Amino acid sequence: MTIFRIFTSLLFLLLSFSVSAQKGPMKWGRVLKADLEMTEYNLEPDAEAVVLGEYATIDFSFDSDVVNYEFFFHKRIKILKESAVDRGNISIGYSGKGGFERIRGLKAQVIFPDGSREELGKKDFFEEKVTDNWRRKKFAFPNLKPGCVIEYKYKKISEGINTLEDWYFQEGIPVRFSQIQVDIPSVYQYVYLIESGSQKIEHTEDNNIQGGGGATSFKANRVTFKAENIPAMKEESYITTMRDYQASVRFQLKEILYSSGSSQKFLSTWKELAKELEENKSLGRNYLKSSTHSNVVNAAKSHIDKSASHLDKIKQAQKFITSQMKWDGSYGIWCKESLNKLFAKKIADGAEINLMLLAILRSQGLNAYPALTSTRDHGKTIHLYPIYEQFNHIMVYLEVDGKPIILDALDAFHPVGYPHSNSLNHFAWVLNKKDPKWIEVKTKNSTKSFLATFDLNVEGDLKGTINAGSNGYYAITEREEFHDSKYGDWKNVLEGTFPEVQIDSIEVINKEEIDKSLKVNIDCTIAKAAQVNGDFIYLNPVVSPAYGENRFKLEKRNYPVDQIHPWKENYILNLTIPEGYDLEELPEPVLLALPADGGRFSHQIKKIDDTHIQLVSKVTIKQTYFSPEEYLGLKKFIDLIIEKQEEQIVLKKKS
Amino acid sequence: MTAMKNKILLMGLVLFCLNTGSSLFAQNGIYAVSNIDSELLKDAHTVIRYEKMEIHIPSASKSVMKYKSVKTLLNENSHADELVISYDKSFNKIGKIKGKIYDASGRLVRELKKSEFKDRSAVDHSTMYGDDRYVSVKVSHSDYPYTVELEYKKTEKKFMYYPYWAIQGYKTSVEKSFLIVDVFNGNQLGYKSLNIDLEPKIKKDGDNHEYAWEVTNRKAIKGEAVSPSWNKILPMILLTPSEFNLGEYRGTMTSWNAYGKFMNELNKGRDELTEQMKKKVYEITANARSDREKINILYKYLQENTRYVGVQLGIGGWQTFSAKYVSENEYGDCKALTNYMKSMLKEVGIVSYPVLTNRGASHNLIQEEFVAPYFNHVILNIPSEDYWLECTSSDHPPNYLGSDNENKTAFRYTESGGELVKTPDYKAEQNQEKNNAIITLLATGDAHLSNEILYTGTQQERYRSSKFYLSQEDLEKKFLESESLPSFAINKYEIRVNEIKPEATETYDIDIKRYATKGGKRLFVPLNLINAISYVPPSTEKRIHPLEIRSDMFDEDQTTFKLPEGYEIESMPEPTFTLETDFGFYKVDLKVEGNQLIYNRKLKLTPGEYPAERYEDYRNFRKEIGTRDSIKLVLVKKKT
Repeated sequence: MTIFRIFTSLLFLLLSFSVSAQKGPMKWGRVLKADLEMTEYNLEPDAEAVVLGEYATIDFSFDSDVVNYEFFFHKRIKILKESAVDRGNISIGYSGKGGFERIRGLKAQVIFPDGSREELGKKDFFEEKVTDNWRRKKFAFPNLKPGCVIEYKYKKISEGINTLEDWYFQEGIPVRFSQIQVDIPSVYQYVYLIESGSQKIEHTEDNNIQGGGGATSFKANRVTFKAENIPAMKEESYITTMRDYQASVRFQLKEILYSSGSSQKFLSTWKELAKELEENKSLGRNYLKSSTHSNVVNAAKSHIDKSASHLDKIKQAQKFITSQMKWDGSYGIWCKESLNKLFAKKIADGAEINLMLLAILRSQGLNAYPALTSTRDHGKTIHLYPIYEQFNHIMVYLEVDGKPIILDALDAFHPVGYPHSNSLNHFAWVLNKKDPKWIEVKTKNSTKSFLATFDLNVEGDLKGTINAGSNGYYAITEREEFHDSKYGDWKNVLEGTFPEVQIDSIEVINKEEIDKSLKVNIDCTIAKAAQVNGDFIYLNPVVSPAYGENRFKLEKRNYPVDQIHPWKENYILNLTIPEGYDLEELPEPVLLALPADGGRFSHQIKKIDDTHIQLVSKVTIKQTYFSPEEYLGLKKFIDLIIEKQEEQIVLKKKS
Repeated sequence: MTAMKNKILLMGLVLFCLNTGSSLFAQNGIYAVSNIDSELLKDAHTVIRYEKMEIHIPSASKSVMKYKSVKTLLNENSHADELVISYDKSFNKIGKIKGKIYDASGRLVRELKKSEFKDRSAVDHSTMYGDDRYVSVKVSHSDYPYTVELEYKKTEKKFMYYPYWAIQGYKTSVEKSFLIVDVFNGNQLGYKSLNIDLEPKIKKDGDNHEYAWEVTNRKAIKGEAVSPSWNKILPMILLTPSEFNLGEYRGTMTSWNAYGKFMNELNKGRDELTEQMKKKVYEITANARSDREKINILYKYLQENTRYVGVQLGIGGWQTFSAKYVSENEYGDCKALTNYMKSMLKEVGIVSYPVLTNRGASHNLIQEEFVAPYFNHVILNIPSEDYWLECTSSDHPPNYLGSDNENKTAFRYTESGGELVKTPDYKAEQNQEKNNAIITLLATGDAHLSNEILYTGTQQERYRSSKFYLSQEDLEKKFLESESLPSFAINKYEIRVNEIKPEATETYDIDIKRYATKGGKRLFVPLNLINAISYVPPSTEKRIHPLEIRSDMFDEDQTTFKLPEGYEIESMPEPTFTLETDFGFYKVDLKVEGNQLIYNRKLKLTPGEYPAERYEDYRNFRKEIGTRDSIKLVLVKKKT
């Protein structure tokens, strides 16, 4: 009896141990009968597949020289439609030896509706060496048809304890259940960056856990994030990146508390982060220590007028650096080499070029600082914690006459104060250990103006001149187009509306002077611009409308509209109508505005005298961010502008 | 002693000075941009100063290519700063890569470091795993113009594909360029020049034959809209072996027939079906009343039970996986799926042959007189029924290859050899869009539109594929976003697909806000918003290349406008308009019946090749269509 008792108590011990070691809510190979029989997912009957469950655990290990963690992952997907069978082609990325990650214990199997199964063998798993630091384990589930359930699991050993794994609860198909459980040794303190994506994410903690095993066991805190019945995420356009709205959780190591009582901080304060970055050889030292950038600064000297105003010096410095350096198209915040070495190579990434500009400006006595940011496609900035991994780009910040200026010298077309579109992600962080701060990244308006002076003849032809001007982002695009062709994009634009247009002459002013407005003067003849029928001539007076069509077609959106910058378009037409005709019909004037002055539209047509009319049509959009609730208002606003700008002028022959 | 030493030292110094390159004494290096003839700068972004491709072929299973090029980049539009060397891991090795950058005056700026050459996997998203890789480097010097020199060595073992010499791309001029091939005696080198009159100098001595081509001072060629594909314009030398090895297999390319024998040998004996599969094949075709029906049943079975997964390792890029592999995994690449289909057909006594083709490419380098495997895809041909099957498609109907496979010169191989064949060409009458719409207009300018559209041939492909891959919600979203109609609300939307024929029908019923623009007492009604064609090729000053028009389609639309109460027609175009040209025809008929206006439009576009002088005629044809498609009907309130 005693033996039996010990036995059962041992059993209990074993059971409780295995409970704490349980790998989660899904058992390999054990699929619910209802799931096998499922022919459509009740919450989204149209879905082509559904993630039945996705589960991961992270366990730390101190067994080897370097601390590492084991990421265990198990995913199960139900294929519901034939169009989803390609979801059976799986690719698992990891950094491989170079990045100190490896994959073990990869298993995959298909479970058919009748309960039978087929397991993949070693020969079905391929490893692709994408680059030196990135690999992919790839495999394809065989025999897939609607009704099949596929599941796979693996373990990844990694040393990346700083950020562990990014966990996404949401994807292109619905997810019934998603959970990540991390057993964090009590000595490690993490912060959790949760993006709820309008979903309910359950967060629980249990700090009575025993981690590790054998020689190295430790006290741990079990953190669990769970979400259920998550809808599929569908892409929408005019957005920074869908990842900003995708339900997810990310981890960031904050501090390690050693048993001795001391601690190592990974996330401290913004001030401390600023100090560390300024002292870093690949960042701060590069523009603070003169030996690293002396060649750049010296080469720039002859291009900067010592007596010029601050603003002029900035323009000259930016012009110099963009003429010397070519942007390789990539982003990062760490300099791969000293600025001197990169300058000699003539090619560098975005931050490296901007830091060269920064060094030049500082050598000229200007108080310039790096402005760190995350580009639009990289994700939104995180202000709550001083996490440097959020940044992938550096611009230059300074104040001139009390006004902030942000510089982004990636090519020769962008004037001072107009960063590249991808760099416009609302905020940047100024790196200055004395006064680190978050600033708003804003640009001035970009304006396009179009003054057309035309004579209309009885055949419906227009002949006259177009005097167009553009600045800001409009000018940047136009200058790039003029770089490629004598007509820039004008031929395409005009021929797009009027196939019979003939450009008699074109003059481009300030093509290279990027700080000035770009001016284009065109003489042209547009045959058949107006529709002539009997006694009537019908003309659409807006030769260059603000919108070709309304790209916002949907009645509702789930995600905000993030237009990159504010803009203005002014259209003026001075029209002379042919002798012998009366103005039969003119469009009514209109004045529209978006709430809180987010945008304005005015359309006025005036009869100057019997043969002259003037049309002035102006569109201004100041607001760049529209919430999903404001979307419908914006869509209707644009619909009304298009409709108004399409209204015709009607002329009738005098009787 | 000291004096002597000094003298020697001095001598050495002088000698040293004399020997350290003429650059110290010459004004500019040989690659100075100023040395380029002005004729070679016209219309050019890149100038090839020197290029030499030396291929040494000592046996049927080895070749060593030494390549060197020196290219001047005149401006940022030049792509010569991105160098990509593709290779196949299982057959090739790239080595001795070196690069240098020279400035505009020809002075050496720097040498490229080994670390700048990246080795990457070239596996694309449609391939699960393959041996394709590439070495690439992105060079830059922001001071244009500058010159890049590149050298490398590529060793190939056991392959059957010789490179072709692309003498120049668009906007690239050539100062000097050489191709030298020396082959061992047993191998007859096949060669052909395209778009250039150039013969090699041939030297035969004992074991080796040397062929040398040389090109000097070629002006840059501009690309133009609506021109033939690059293989009909750009100068090239095509090369092909007569004897070759692929892995452990030997073959000859002296004729298409010989190549066919090799392909047959390579893929032989891989069509054995398992007993279980044989039973399945008999089972599902048991009730079929004809061969055609059997083919349709088996094709459907293939589509529903297999999918495309590309695994191309080594010889697997050319040799098919067995039928057994496909039936076990129910996936395969184009070769395996085609072979599988062939095996199933064989089981029911239907003979079929694999056909090698080049899918999606605009070029067609395959020709009778020159045997070289410029293929990237396999389809299946059943001569007895004149049937063609695309075995990787989940949604094509039977006997339909798709626009990326049609009208190609392809290669069909059999047990006894092989020959060139032409894949079906879908003509205009087979590629139709037929709109049948009723537009009910309201006095507000809003309209109710119901439309049923029949699409056939190449015009139905994207509807068929959307129907297969997208949910109803996503289909409606796509429709909302793609149409050139003003904002509308969907009452009904449906796509129906014909199982057997390449036909799809799109039906919709929508309410449009502001279909017509209102202006006081007038309404301006666009006649054709549902199927307007506005593309006009750009105007040019003096055209060089001939025209090659590839559009081949025929649209027939009927739209009935129901006019609003209280309005009458103030202006409408003439009741009949016909425009007939070599390029096609355009016909509009308008008929008023009470308060209805019936608008009939026919547009046929015909493919063809024309001399450069006809470009303006073609532009005028497209302009007329564009203008007439955008005409608005003007309605005015009736006088009460």
